[in-house]
Parts: sequence; C-alpha cells; structure tokens
Amino acid sequence: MRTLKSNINRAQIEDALKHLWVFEQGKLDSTIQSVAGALECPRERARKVLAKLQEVGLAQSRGEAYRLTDSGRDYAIQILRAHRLYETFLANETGTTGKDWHAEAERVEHELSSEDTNRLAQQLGHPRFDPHGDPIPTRAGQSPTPRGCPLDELEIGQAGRIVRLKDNPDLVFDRICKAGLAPNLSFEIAARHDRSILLRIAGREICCDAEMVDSLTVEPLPDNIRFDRDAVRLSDLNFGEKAEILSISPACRGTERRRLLDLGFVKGGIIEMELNGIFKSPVAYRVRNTVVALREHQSENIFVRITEGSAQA
Amino acid sequence: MSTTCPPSACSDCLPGKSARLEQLGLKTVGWDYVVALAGNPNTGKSTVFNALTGLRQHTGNWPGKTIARAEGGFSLKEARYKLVDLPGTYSLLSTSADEEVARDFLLFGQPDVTVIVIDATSVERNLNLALQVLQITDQVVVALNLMDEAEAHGIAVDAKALARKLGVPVIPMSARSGDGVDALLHAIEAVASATLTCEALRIPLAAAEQMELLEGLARDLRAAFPELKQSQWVAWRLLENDSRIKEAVRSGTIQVEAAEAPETDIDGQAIVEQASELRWKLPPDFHDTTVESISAASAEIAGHCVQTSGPSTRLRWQRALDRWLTHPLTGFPLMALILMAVLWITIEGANVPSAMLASLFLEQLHPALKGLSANIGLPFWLDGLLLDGIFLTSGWVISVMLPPMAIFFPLFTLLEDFGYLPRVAFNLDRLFQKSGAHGKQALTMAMGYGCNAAGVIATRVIDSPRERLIAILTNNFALCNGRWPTQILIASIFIGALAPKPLAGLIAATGVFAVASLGILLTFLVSYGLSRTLLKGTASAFSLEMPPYRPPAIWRTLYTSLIDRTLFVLWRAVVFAVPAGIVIWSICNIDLAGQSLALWAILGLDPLAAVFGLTGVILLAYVVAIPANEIVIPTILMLTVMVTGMAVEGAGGAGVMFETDDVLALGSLLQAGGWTTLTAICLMLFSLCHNPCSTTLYTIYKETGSLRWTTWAAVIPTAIGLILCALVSGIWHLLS
Repeated sequence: MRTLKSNINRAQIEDALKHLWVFEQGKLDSTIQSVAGALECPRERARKVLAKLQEVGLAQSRGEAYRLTDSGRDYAIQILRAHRLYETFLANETGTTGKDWHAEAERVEHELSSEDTNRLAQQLGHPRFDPHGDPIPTRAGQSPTPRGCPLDELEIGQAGRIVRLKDNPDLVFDRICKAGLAPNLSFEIAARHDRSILLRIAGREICCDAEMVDSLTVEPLPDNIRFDRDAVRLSDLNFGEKAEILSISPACRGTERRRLLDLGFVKGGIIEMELNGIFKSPVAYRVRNTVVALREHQSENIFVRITEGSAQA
Repeated sequence: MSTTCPPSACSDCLPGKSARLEQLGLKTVGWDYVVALAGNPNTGKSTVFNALTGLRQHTGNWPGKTIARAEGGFSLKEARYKLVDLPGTYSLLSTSADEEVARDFLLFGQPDVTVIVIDATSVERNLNLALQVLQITDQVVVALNLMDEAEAHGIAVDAKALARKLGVPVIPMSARSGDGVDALLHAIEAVASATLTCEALRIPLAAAEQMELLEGLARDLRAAFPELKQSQWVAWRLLENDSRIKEAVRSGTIQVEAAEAPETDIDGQAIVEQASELRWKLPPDFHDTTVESISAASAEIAGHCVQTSGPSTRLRWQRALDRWLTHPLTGFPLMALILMAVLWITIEGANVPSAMLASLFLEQLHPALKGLSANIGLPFWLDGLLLDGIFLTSGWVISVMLPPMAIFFPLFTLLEDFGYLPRVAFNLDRLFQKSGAHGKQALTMAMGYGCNAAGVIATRVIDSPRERLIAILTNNFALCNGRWPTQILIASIFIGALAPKPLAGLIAATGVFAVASLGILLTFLVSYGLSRTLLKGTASAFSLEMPPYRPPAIWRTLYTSLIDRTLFVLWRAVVFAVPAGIVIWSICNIDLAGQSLALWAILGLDPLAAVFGLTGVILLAYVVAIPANEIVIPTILMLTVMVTGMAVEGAGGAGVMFETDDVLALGSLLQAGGWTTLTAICLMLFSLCHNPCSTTLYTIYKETGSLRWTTWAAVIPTAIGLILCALVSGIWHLLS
C-alpha cells in the first residue's frame, strides 16, 4: 500500500515542471505553496512531487525556492510543445470547440511520446503558433520573444491586431471563441464604455466585456497594413450582389482554411451568390467561374467588400 | 465502384485509337518513360487516363471519385510509357495526404513527362495547380480538356497564347469524344524524347517583402546543389518546414544526379538550420500570401488567354435547372420524383425479361439438363448438387437480378454523369449537419445504392475522421444492388397485389420508395445518435464543389455501366450462389432423426421469427446467405418449397429451387408457406436493416482498421432491424 500511496504519477511530475517553467518565465520563485496551488493538491503532496523532481535531477532547491535544472527545462519545454501542438491539432483538424481545447490538451500532453509529438508537428505542417497565439517551441526549443500590449492601451478609432488570447477562465475563453476572435485578426476600436470595449470587425460590432479585455493581448496594426473599414461577411451578401474577397478570418484555420484557399477564396477574387439553398445553409457561391457550396459558419469567416449592388441598393 | 476490369475486354470501343497507339492497360513491365497525370478534381483526368491506357476507371460528374492511385501503360513508336494517375488536387501547397502523394511523386518520382489536365471551363482556378507543378518540373504537357464544354458555355481559350505564357505545350482536347488525344500523344512523345525542351514559367512564390529572404535561401541551395532545378520551390518548402524536403536536403538526395562536389562550405544541414531560424521571421500570413500571389498570376494569365462571351444559353439553362432542383419548394419533391421514377421504370421494365429468363433457365434448360444427366447416369448426389443446387441457384440469381440491375444501374449512372449527385448533397447537407455528419455523406450514400462496399470506400472523400466513420457505419442504410431485387420482388408480389392491376407497378414502386426513404431517415437518425454518443463532436469543415451539368454520353454510359457495374455485380452474385447452392441442397438432403437438417433449423427458428413478424425460413435464409445479400430470395424460395412440400412441376425433390414465371404463382406458394402481408413488410424492413454482407464488412475492417467499428457496423443495423420488425408485428397484431 505504501508504494501505491507514494507513487507519484507522470501527470503530476509534468504539471509541476510546467508550473516551474511558467514561473521562471515570469521571473517568479516557485515554492511548495505555489506548486500545491498549481496541481490543486495538498502541500504534503506537492512536497513529495518536488522531492521526486530533485531526486531525478529535474529541479533543485535554493532555500524556499525551487528552480529547474537544464534537463528539467528541456523536459518542461517538450511538455509545452506537446500541449500547444495538440491544441493546434484540435483547433485545426477537428470540430472541437474552443473551450474544450485546453482541458483536452492537458490530458493528452502526458500521453504523447516525443515521437508522437514530432509526428503531430509534421502532420500539422510544423505550426509556429498555437490557437491562442502562443509560440510552439521547436524540437530544439527555439521560440520567439513575446510581443504586444493590453487591449485598453489602444485608442478609439485606432486599428489593431490580436496577438494572443488567454485560455482561462474557460467561460471567458468560450465567449472569445464564440465572438470569432482569433490571433492575427484585425479590428478597429469603435467605442469604450467603462472597461468594456466595442470592436469593429468586418461589418460586425463585437462587444468585449472587462474579462474579455483582460484576456486579449494586441498590437497596433503595422503602418503597411490597411484596415478595411468597408469589409462585411460573405454571409451578409444578398442574391444579385457581387463582392470582392478581402481575406479569410484567422478564426478559420487548418484544413478548412487551406481548402477554402485552394477552392479560390483568395484575396481579389470576385464572388456572387449562385444558389440560396433549401435551408439557407449551405449556400452556393460562384467564384472564379466555379460553384462552391459553403455552410453558414464558413461564409461568416470570409471577409468581402460589396462591389456591385443588387436592384434595391 | 472504381474497379478496373481486364483491359482486354474493351479496347476497340474507346477513343484515341491512333494508328500507332497500343493501349497496354495494366501490363506495365519494362517501360521506357514514366508519365504522371496531374490535375484538379473533376477535370476529366480519369477520362484522359482511360483514353490513353484503354482501362476503365470509374468516371462521374462529382469531385473525388478517383480513389486509389491508378497506373496503366501505353506504347507509342516502339517506346513503352507508364502512366501514373495522381490524386486530383487543387494545389500542392498543403499538408493533405493526397497532395503529399502528388507532390512527392513529382519531386522524387522524377516522371519523364507530367501531363497537367486543365478544365477549359475554369482555366483560372486550374492554372493555380499548373503554376505550382511548373515550379517543380519543366517537362510538362498541358492537356486543355473539356474544350467542347467550354465552347458550349461560350468560353474561348487561346491555347497558343497559354502555351507562350506557360512555356510548355498546351493541347486543346475533349477526352470524352477522343478529340485531341493524338496531339496529346505527340506532345508527350516530343517532351519524353527531349526533341522538345521546355522552359517553364516560374512565378515568384512570395510577396515582394519576403522574396529577398526566399531568394537568399534558394541561392544557398543552388550553391550547395548546382544541379537542383527547383531551388525556389525547395526553399519555399523549407520555410514551410516540409519534413520530406528537409530530410532530402540534409542527406543531399534532393539533387538527383550527383555532380562534382561543389566548392562551397554550405551544406544541406546548414541550409536546413538556417531555414528553421528564418521561419520565425516570417509574417503569420506567409502561406496565404504565397497562395495569393499564385492566384494573382493565374488570374493575370487567364485574363490574357480566356475570352467569355457573356452568359451563354447553356449557363442560363443550367442556372434555371439548378434553381428548380435546389428550390425550397421544389427541391425535395423533385428529388423524390426522380428516385420514384427510377424505381418505377425498373419495376415495370424488369417484369417481362425476368419472366423470360426464368422460363429459359428453369423451365427449359433445367429439365433438359436433368434429362441429359439421367441419360448418362450421373449419381443422384452429383446430379442433385450440380443441377438442383448450383445450376438452379445461379439461374435464379440471374433471372431475378439481371433485368432490374440492367435498368437501374444505367439510369443511376446517367444521373451521376449528368451531375445530379452534388445537388442532392447540397440539398441534404443541412440535415446532415444537424445530425453532426458531413454533407458529402450524401455522395457516399448514393454510391451505397450501387454497392455498400463501394460506398464505404467512397467515404474517403470525407476529410475528417469522425464524420468519415459516421458515413461508414451508416452506409448500410442505403439499399444496395443485392437488396433492390429483394425489395422489388416482394413489393411486386405482396404490396402491388393490394392495388388493382393497372396500378400495381406504381404501388409496388411506392412501397420500395418508402423503404428506401426509411433508409435515408435512419441514416440521419443513426448519424445523429452516433455523433451524440460513440462519436461525439461537432460537424467540421464542409465545402462542396457543384460542377456544371454535363450532357451524359448515353451510349457510353449504357455500355460501361453494363460492363462495370451490372456484370461485375452479377458475377459476384453467381460466385457466391455456387457454394450457397451446395449448402442449401445439402442441409435439405441430410437427415437427422428422420427430418432434414434444414427442417430442424426452420422449426426451431419459427417461434423466435414469429416475434419479428418473420418466418423460420427467412431467418435460416439470412444465415445461409451471409456471404451475399443477393442470394437471400432464392434461398427463401427454395426452403419454402421444401417446407410446404408443395408439388411443383419440375421441382424434383427436397432442396430444389422453385421455379415460376408468374409472380402470382410465387405469391400463392409463399402464402402456402405461411406468408402474409405482414411477413412481406417485415422482410422488406429486415432486408433494409441487417448486418452488411461479408464483402462490405471486410471493406469496413480494411478502411477503419478496427474490429470494434466493424462489429458496430454489423450490430447497429441488425438491432434496429429486429426492433423495427418486432414493433411492426406487435402493432399489426394489436390492430388485427
């Protein structure tokens, strides 16, 4: 029984390593207290986990504080890599909704071997950023320095671009996903009210409450990129109107995005509605002289500018 | 249904019979040149392939039907060419499995000539892929296919201008009618034998800001590998972190003919490392801007070479048709009407030839053979096995199945060639989405109406694994060719008989239509159930290309659907009927305690069967007929004859298949066997919902690689079938 009780599982070891790494990045000291908090376990348990880490040479203690050793840091980065790759996989290749990415990846990261992780990276085309905009370390551990500022540093009328989204708390992240926000999405600040901010994104006004504002890291739109104020969504297009494609929203990722690009939904293309469909979704569009049917949530993610109005316009 | 038949069966009926062209079909040993065939989906690639090799890959008017990579051969002027049909792709830039196959074959397979098939009706989009292929190889011939269709649409493509722009030969052709096949062969030969050298257009692969970075990497590659022809493409792939390319650059195998060691200290390893560092400097939309610049180049070239004379009559006509076929009010009724019409034509048309065949096999040939066997004194068991078992079963299979299939399949193939299936998928997508499934499941379901095994293979057009599994597990609810005859026969005898004679055919067709519709309903319900339980998840990406309607080539369709579908399926049925015939005859003639094995089983199963509104005979028949659905009905009839002991002319003894040329006589036989309208309804339901045949199960196992899912694929429909039958029979008894 004793062995069973003191048996520290892989998940806890790895979660503790991740915690040490995160604190190290934030220039904070990890303690038994902080580890117990991160693992949501009693302090006694946290002490055992840290003892185990020291025993196998992944961490060392200096007084109250615990630090990663070089091999511990490598290990932590590999876990992080597995986690972020798996989140990318869920976002790009499956229909899993945003709020489930993190929890699912928390579980799977401990089950992936390093070969599995490499295979996953290859399958995904070696993505550089995960769906939250966090860099995915390479096998060798390379990753760029973080950039960006909080959303409320931007002024009304200023155009910006989302850099990163915090994935906790779950409920807030769920709202962010439902609003169609994603890294690299451009916006313009339309209005502020208290701590809420109204964003203008391709014909929609999206209200970010204070919690959502806290979750967003943004940057001012670089000078060489123009913000398209007259952009609308393809799903807004009426029968008989013609539009020019501006871009596909960054919220549309992976296989779906590549397929749309391949089918000709590329900047500059002229598009019009061909068939309304029985249930109004899917709708068939004529683009580059071929007819392609899309579901509504897809046409919602294609940004266009209407060039030729219908009879009533 | 992409089965390829032996090439010998048909080589003189196909176009492209050039005086010097010898179509070698699958005999591809010792070739001189390798020719790759690339192109977008649904551009007529398979038709070009067939025209050159004399093979018959399945063709149809919906994207994605060519499933496996096909190879064939032809010989021209003493040289033998191997033709490799690459999967149809829209691009080579992505990570999908199809594109990887095509990309790797072009780069590492080093084909001597690559034929890019371009759809003349949408040159701009097709150029996308062509421009990418030109990045990899110079030895290219562009086949500008579907010129006849472009003309009908009022689209004029200047092939010469296009050739000048692309720097490779461009051959206008219409592979379906054989126009231009000779010219294509000439061009292939010229490029293969290097009498014609091309300098392909290489457009810049990145936006201006990144071009310097890309060019720098390409320069290093050229320094390290002087023979490397596609340095820009390789550099671009390195920046996209393509593992195959990285490996090839590291090991130096990227360069095919190793030249002298270059005098530079840049080696593959260093370049790969440099590329992975540069990757962090790329803008997030690096991939997108490359796609955009290729698209812009395609648009520019198409603008030069393509002229459209406004909306043509053809286009207006197609748009009108599309409006009707997908209209909220008329879309579904027209769908039902078309299916009804196909069934009705099949039922009405099959009656007479079925009777004629039955009379030929069973009333004339069988007694004649029996007489012959009596004359030469064949032992009773051999005579029984061969003539009463094997011959009669096969005869039954042919007379019951051949006529309906010979009508149903060509009609279905005509609809497929015309381009109706994608419209069905379009109409049904919303319902599939609500069920958590993929809209293309409508296409695989339609394939399942031919053969469920083919339907299961066709699910490869669905990208996402979860939705693909749903499509596989529910494909069995599409009635296959083995079950249509069962439905049609039982409906004709029992359901048709409920109405006055002139309406019998229509009522019977309605009955079959109702069962088929129930199958569609069950497809939605089971998909919904699966996506809430075993296969949780939300519906993912969907895009469906709706190709223009193409007037079907009627005679060719009739011919190929007869050869590829009807005869193929019939042959399979006969192959399975032979052992089944032996088993049937044996269990009817081996006695145990004074009663034949068959009778023991039937009497034992009867009480159980009664619960489900069926009979012991039917259940036993389903056990005997596990290998193939096709032989269920013949087995039932034969076992019924034995149990009722009805004296039937020509039925020599126990275990002899019953024979008749009149459905009403068949009806009275079945009624004597204890059949009622309820039995007929339950049999039709059970025929819709029971385990898939052995071939389909094996295919499911191969496609999923999982015994667990194969088991589910058998358990789900059987359980539903038994529940349905028990319900119907319970309600029936309550009401009567």
